Amino acid sequence: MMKLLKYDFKRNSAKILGVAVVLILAQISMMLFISNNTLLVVLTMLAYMIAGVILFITPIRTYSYNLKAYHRKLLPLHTLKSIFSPIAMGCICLLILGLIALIHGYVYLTVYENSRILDIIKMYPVDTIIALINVIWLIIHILIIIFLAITIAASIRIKGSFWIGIVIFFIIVNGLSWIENLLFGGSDWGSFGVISEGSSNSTMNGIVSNVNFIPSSHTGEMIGSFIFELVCSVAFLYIMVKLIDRKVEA
Amino acid sequence: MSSLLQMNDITKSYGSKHALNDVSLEIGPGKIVGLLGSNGSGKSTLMKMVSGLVQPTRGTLTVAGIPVGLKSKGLVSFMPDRPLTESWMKVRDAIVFFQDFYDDFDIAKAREMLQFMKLNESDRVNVLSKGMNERLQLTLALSRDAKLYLLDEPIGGVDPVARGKILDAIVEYYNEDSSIIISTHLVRDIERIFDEVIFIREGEIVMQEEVENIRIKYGKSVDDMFKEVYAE
Repeated sequence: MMKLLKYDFKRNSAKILGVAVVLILAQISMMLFISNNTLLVVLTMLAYMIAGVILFITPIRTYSYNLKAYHRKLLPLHTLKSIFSPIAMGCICLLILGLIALIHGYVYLTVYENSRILDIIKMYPVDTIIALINVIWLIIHILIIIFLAITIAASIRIKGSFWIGIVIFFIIVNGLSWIENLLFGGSDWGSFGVISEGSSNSTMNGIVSNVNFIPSSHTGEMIGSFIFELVCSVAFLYIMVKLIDRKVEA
Repeated sequence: MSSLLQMNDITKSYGSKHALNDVSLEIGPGKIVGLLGSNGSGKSTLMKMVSGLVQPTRGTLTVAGIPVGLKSKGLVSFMPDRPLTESWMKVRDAIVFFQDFYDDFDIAKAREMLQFMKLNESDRVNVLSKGMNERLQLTLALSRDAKLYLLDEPIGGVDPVARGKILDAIVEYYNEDSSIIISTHLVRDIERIFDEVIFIREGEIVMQEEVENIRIKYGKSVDDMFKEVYAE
């Protein structure tokens, strides 16, 4: 798989490098020309978010390309490796971006002596780590669902299969959220509600919305939800392998 | 002599259309076989199926006794009708890509072929002309020590000089213990290298014959026979 990963990186190196350069230039420009602190923080976060979105889309496009590429389909390698390679690429890119953002944030908070968030992290170090692991799992889980939708769409040889893929994606995501709500109560540990609380009906509100939230107080639900998502992901991977080997044609 | 490629009652359907219809054939080792047919006759589908890119709707297909799948991909070297390279690659990268993934890739043979084909390792793949690109694809496919080589239209769309060079390379560099199937509709240019030909029309095999037999039995060249079979 490492060799596949190497070639996935090589193909996307110009794009990844471009994102990095633009991000650095944007950050330098903002530091030099924006004096309003609030605006600086908002724009900085926006820049990281845009970079994150591009880096999230990259493995999806890579997987979609590989699915139809003769030179990839002809390789005597297990299909699972061709699924894991873009997932690993996406995770590595996003982790590096996240790490840079964290260091940037730490430096910013230290320089501006805004220690409130740092105090919270110090108060709940285990919870912070759990939340970070959860974010990584969220990325992997969503990528698997998107890859499944792409694979199903690619295995259907009719016009408009792209739209079928999009519909399938939303059916899977909402189906999983609904089952998770049934199994694990109202707590949003599902695909889109990793670390938000108090919004059992809303599954799209994402990142920390309530700083009083303590992940470790929901350990049971979290583990149950994680196992459920893990089992689903394994099942999705199995379906993808079968579809790629039998139905998807280059 | 055990067969290298065996197809039994292979059918490939897309909806109500049959790309291949009850195709059965057998190819032994050590042969250069021409897979001849007009456009849309099913040549490429048959090759994709043997290489594992396309699954048959019905029937069984084995290469060296192994059902087509993950293991057979290591035995078959396929030069399809579109490049096996990526646009960012240089010729050198393409060679390294094959070396990375195919245990049977012979780097010395690849370098020798590059020289023969007048290809430069530092050339970018996306600036190569069609003829030079065909040469590169052929170099990649033939540099493997495979049991079965599949070349889909290796001389399609290239000038006569490049055609000659490509045909010379096929004869010079293919592994004689293995077999090679070449699909084409440009019969006259290539018939000199065939041991055997398979005529395919509308997804069905209409003839499989040794080239020598065609000359002796019918008193015709392969090209004349092709024109007769595909006359409209």
